Amino acid sequence: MSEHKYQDSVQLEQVIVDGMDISGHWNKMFVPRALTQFDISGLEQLRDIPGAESINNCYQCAKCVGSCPVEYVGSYGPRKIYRKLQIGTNLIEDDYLWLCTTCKNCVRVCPKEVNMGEIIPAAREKAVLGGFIPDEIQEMLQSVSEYGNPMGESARKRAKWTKPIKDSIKNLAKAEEGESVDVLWFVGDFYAYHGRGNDAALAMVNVFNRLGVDFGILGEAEKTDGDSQRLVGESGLFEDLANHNDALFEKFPHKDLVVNDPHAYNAIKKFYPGITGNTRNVTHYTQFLSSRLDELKALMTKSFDKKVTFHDPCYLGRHNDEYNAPRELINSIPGATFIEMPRHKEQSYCCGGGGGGMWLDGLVANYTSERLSTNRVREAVETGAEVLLVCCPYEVSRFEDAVKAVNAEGKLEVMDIVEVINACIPEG
Amino acid sequence: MEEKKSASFIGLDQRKFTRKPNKKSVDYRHELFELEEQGELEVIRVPEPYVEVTTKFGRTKKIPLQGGWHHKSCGQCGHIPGYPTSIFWLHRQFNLDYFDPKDQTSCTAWNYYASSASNVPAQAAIAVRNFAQAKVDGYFPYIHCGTSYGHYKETREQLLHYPELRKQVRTIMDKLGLPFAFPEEIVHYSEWLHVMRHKIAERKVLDLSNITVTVHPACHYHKLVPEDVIYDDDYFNGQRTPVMTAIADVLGANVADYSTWHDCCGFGFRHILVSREFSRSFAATRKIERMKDEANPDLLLTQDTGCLTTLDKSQFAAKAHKCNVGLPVMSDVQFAALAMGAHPYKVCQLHWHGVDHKPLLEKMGIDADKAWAEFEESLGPIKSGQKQFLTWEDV
Amino acid sequence: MSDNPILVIGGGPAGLAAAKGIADLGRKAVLVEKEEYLGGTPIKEKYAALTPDFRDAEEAMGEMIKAVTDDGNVEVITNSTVTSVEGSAGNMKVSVQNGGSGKTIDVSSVIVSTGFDHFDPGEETQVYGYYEYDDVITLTDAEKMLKEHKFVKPSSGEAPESVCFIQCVGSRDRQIGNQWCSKVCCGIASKDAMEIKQILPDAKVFVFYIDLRAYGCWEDDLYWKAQEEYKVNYIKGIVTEITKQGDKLIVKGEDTTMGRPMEIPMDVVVLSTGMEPSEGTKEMAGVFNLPLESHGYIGTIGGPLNTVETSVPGVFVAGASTGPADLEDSVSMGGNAAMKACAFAMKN
Repeated sequence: MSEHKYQDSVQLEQVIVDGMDISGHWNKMFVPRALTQFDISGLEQLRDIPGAESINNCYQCAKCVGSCPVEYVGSYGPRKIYRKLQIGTNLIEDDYLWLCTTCKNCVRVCPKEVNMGEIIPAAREKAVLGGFIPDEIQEMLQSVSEYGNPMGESARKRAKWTKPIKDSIKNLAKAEEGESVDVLWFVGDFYAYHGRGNDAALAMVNVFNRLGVDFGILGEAEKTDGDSQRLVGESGLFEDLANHNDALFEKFPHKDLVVNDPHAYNAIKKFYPGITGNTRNVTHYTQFLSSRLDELKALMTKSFDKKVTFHDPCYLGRHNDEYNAPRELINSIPGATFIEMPRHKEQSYCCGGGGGGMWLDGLVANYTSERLSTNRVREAVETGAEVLLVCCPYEVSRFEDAVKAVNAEGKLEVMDIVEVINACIPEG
Repeated sequence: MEEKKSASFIGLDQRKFTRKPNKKSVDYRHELFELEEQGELEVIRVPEPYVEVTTKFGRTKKIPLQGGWHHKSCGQCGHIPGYPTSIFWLHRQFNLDYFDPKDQTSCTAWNYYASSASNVPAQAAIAVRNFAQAKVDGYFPYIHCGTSYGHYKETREQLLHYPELRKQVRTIMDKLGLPFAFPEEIVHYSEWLHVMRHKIAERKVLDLSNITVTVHPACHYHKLVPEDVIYDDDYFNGQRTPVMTAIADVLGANVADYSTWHDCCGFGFRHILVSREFSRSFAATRKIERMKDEANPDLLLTQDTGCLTTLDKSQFAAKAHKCNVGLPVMSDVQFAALAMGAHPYKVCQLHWHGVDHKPLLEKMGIDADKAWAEFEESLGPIKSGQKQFLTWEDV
Repeated sequence: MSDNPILVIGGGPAGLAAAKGIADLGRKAVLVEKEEYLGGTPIKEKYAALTPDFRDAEEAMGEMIKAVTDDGNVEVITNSTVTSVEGSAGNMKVSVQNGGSGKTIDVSSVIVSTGFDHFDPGEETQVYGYYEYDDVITLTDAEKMLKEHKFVKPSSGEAPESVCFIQCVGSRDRQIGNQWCSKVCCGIASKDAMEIKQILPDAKVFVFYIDLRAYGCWEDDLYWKAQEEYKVNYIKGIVTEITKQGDKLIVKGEDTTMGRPMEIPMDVVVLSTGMEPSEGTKEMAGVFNLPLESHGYIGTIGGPLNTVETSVPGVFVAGASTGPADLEDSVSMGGNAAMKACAFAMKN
C-alpha cells in the first residue's frame, strides 16, 4: 500500500553530454521524492457527507485491519482508508471505495465507532452522483432498472422456476388486490433465476407444503429487494424498488413475510420503513422454519450422515444479530455432525458478495490475491466438513466456484440449509 | 504590520539560547590526561599559540594556529589537489609552520564505514600509529578528511574505555618502536580556518559582496561525536556549526540557507562504491537542485574530500536529465585562498573541478582567461622536461 | 508539638494548595516565592487556559492565590529564596534571602513545591530550529498568543494555514538524559490545538506523536474532542528535522502508519516541550540535603503509596519537583503534604 517506491529510477539509453557518451547506467538517476503534502481535502470532503461523519474519528488503532476480510487477501482495512484520506486520496474517485463488502466486522471491533456500514454507502452515493462508478456496477444497475433484477433476466421469466412443481403454487402476480395468504414468500433474484437457486427454491416449496403452510409468491411482479443497489450508492433506485415491492406487500394481506435472502431481510426490515412508512413482519426463512422446529423435526426422518459446517451470512448475523436460527435447524438434521469454522458467528468471514461485491469481481481482483470466497472455502475444507451449509442465495454459486479454485471438488459440497432439510423429508 | 508587532513577543528576538552541558557527555580530556599520568599513553599537547572555541555542549576546545602535521585524506590528491595546496599556501602566507609527512597511512575509515572488514585493534592501531608519527615528527595532527576526523573521535572513545584494546594497540606500537600517542584535541582543517578567519579577512583582496554561497557541512564532521564540534552563538543562534559559514561571512560573501542543509551529500561510502546512481541522484536532486531552486547561489562551499567530489562530479550526468545543476563547488580553504589572492589554477587548481567555474571567477573579480594563460605558460618548463612539477616559487 | 509555622517553598499550584491546606487545618504557614507574584508556572508562562477544563488560567489561579493571601494564617514572602537550613526535625532555622536582606525563620516542617522548568528546545538532539526560525514556537509560546486570543505566524503576523505540534520534545530521550514522559504535553497540545481551531477554523492542525498519552479522562475531554469536534489530525510518527523553504517550514520525519518518509510544509510548528526539574528544585534538594531519584527529581519514600514524604524527617514535597505532574497531581499532593506536615508538627 506504500506509495513510496525507493527504487524508482530513470536511465537514458543513448545520451551524449558535452561530447561525452554517458549512455545507460552512466546516467542512471533515482527519481527524487516529492514533498508529501498532507492534503486532507479527501478526508474533509468525506466527513462532510451525511452518514459518513464518523470516518473522521479513526485514531489508527488498527483493530479493524485484523478484522477486515479484504485485508486477508490484500491490503485494506478502514484504518488504511482513513490514512489515505489524510494524505490526499479522494475516496470518492478511488477504486478503494469499492473494495469494502460492508460485512460490518470492523464496526463490531471499532472502539471509536467508525461505522463503515454507513460511511461506504454514503460515499458511494456521492460517487454515483459524480459518475465515479465501476463499469461492472453500472451494468448491474442498468439491469436492475430495466428488468428488476441484477442478472438482466427477463422480468416475465421470474416465475419460470416454478414449472417443475407438480401441484399448483399460488402466484399472486395475477391475483386481485386483497387476496390474502398466511405467508407471503419473497423469493428473491437468485432463487428465481440462478440454477442452484432454483434447486433451493423448489426445496423451499416442498418444505412449505409439507408443513402445510398457506403461502403465495409475487411471481413476475416481484423485483429485486434493492439492498445491494442501496449499498453501491443508488439510493434513488433503492427507493423505487422499496416502493414497488412494498406496494405488493400492501396489496396482499399476510401474517408473515418470509425471505430467503438476508440482504432482502435487511432491506425490508431496516430500510423499507424509512421510505414507505410501513413496517412488515419480515422473517428470514431460517427464523420461520426454526419457529416450527417441532413440526419440522417430525417430518425429517431421513438421515443425512455427513459432517457439515456453516457459513454465517454477514447480513443475517452481524447486520441483524441472528446466529441461532440457522444453527437450530442444522442441529436438527438427523445424522449430521456439525463442526463450526474457526471464524463463525460474530467473527464470521465474509464471502465477498455483499455491498455490491457480487458484481465487482473484476475490480476487486486488481487488489487482492484471491477471492474472499476462496479464502472462506479453504477454511471450510480445513474443518474436515463434507458439506458447507449456507442460507444466503449469493453464496451457493460463490462457494461452488471457490471449491473448484481450491481443488476441493468431490470433497466439499455447498448446500442451502433448506436443501438439506428437504432431503431429510421422505416423499409422502 | 501592526499584527506582526503584536506577535513579536514570542519571536526569535525574544529567544536566547543558553548552552548547557549535555547530561550524557563527559570531557574526555580528563580521562586522556589520567591515562597519561598512569603511563598508559602520551598526550600530544595542543601547541601554542592556540585559539579557544566553544563546542556543542559548551566545553572549550583548543585549536592550534600552527605546527600542523598534515593528515591527508585518501581522495584529496587525486580528486581535489587544490585543497591541500590551498591549505599550505595559506600557511605560507602567514608564515605559519606546518609539516607535510610522507609516511602517513590511510585512517581506515574507508574500511570501517564501507565494509567493516577490519577489526577494532587494527583500526585503533592505525590511528595511534599516525598520531605517533606526528609526535615523533614534532607536529600536531590536523585532520583533513571529515571521516577521519569523526572516526578518530570514535576510536578515541574505544581506546579510553577498553583497557584490553589499549593493551592490544600497545603491543603493536611496541613492535613498531613508536610511542602510544594521542592528541589532546582532534582538529579538522575547517576548524583551523575558522579560527584564522579574521586574519584572512584582513588580507582579502577581492570584493565578494555580490557572491552568494551555500554551505554543505560534512556529516562526519558535525554529526559524529558532536561534542567536539565548534558551535558559535553568533551563527545560526548557536544551533548549527559555524565552520565554513563564518569564514564566508567574514570574507564578505552572502551565505544562503536551504532546506536540505542537514542532509548528506550522497557519498555515503557504500553508496559511492556500489550504488553510484544513489550518490549521484542524491547530490544532484536533493542538494544541488534544492540550493539552486531556493537560493540560486554562485558557489557551494564544503569541507571534505568525499562531499566535495560527490557534489561536484555528480552534476555532470544530471545534465542528461535536464536537472537544475551547474553550481561550482570548492572547499572553504580554496575559497579563502582565492579571496586572499591565490592563483585559481596554480594554487587552487580549479581545473580539476567538474563544474564550469569561470563565471564565478569573473564575478569574484578574477580574470579567468588571463589566469589560465598564466597557468599554461607556467607548464612550459614541465612540458619541456625542465621540471617535474610546479613549486612554490612558481606561484 | 511545635507551634512554629510550616514553611512552604514555591507558590505554584502545589504550594498554594499546601499553604491553604495548612491554614485550613488551623496552623500557620509561611509561603516563600522566588518571583514577585504567586501562581507558579501557569502565571509565569502566561498560560491561556488550564488543562483539561479550559478555565481561564489567570482567573482560576487568581482565586487560588486570593484564598491564600486572604488567609490570616498564611504569611506570603515573595521575591525571596531559601538559602540554608540549620537544626533538624521539629525545629529548623531557615534563612530566607530577599535581594540584599535576609532573615531567619523558625519552622516546624517544610514543604518543597518548587516545580519544573520547561525543556529548552535548543538542547534537542533533533534539529528543530527553535532558535533559528520565528515560526517554530513552544507550547508556552502558543499559550502566550492564545492568552491574547490570537494565533499568528510570528514571522509575518499572518494567520497560519497549517500548524503542527511535535510531541515529546525533550522527553523520553536517553541521549538528552530525560528518560521520562512529561505527562501533560499530549493533553496540552490537544487543548491548544482546539483553541487554535476556535480562532482559526480553517487552519489545518496536525499533531505528530510517538504514543499519544492523554491518560484518564483526558482521552475523551481533550484527545477525542480535538479529533472529533475540532478535526485535529493526529499523525503517528515524530519529526526529526525542521528546515525552511521560502516562507514555509519543512518538517521531515517518518509517517509510521504509511511506512514512508515525510517532508511536509507547515506555517507554524509548535514544540511540545516537556518538563525538567527546575533550578529551584535542584537548589532546594541541595539546601535540605534531599536525595534525588534516578531522574533528578526529589525522591520520596514509600513508593506509590507515599508521594510526599522525603527521607529527611519533616521535609515534604509536592508537585512537579517530584517528577512530571499535572495540575490535578500537584494540588492533590499539595493537600497531602499539608496534612502530613501538620501531623509532623503536632508529633514533634
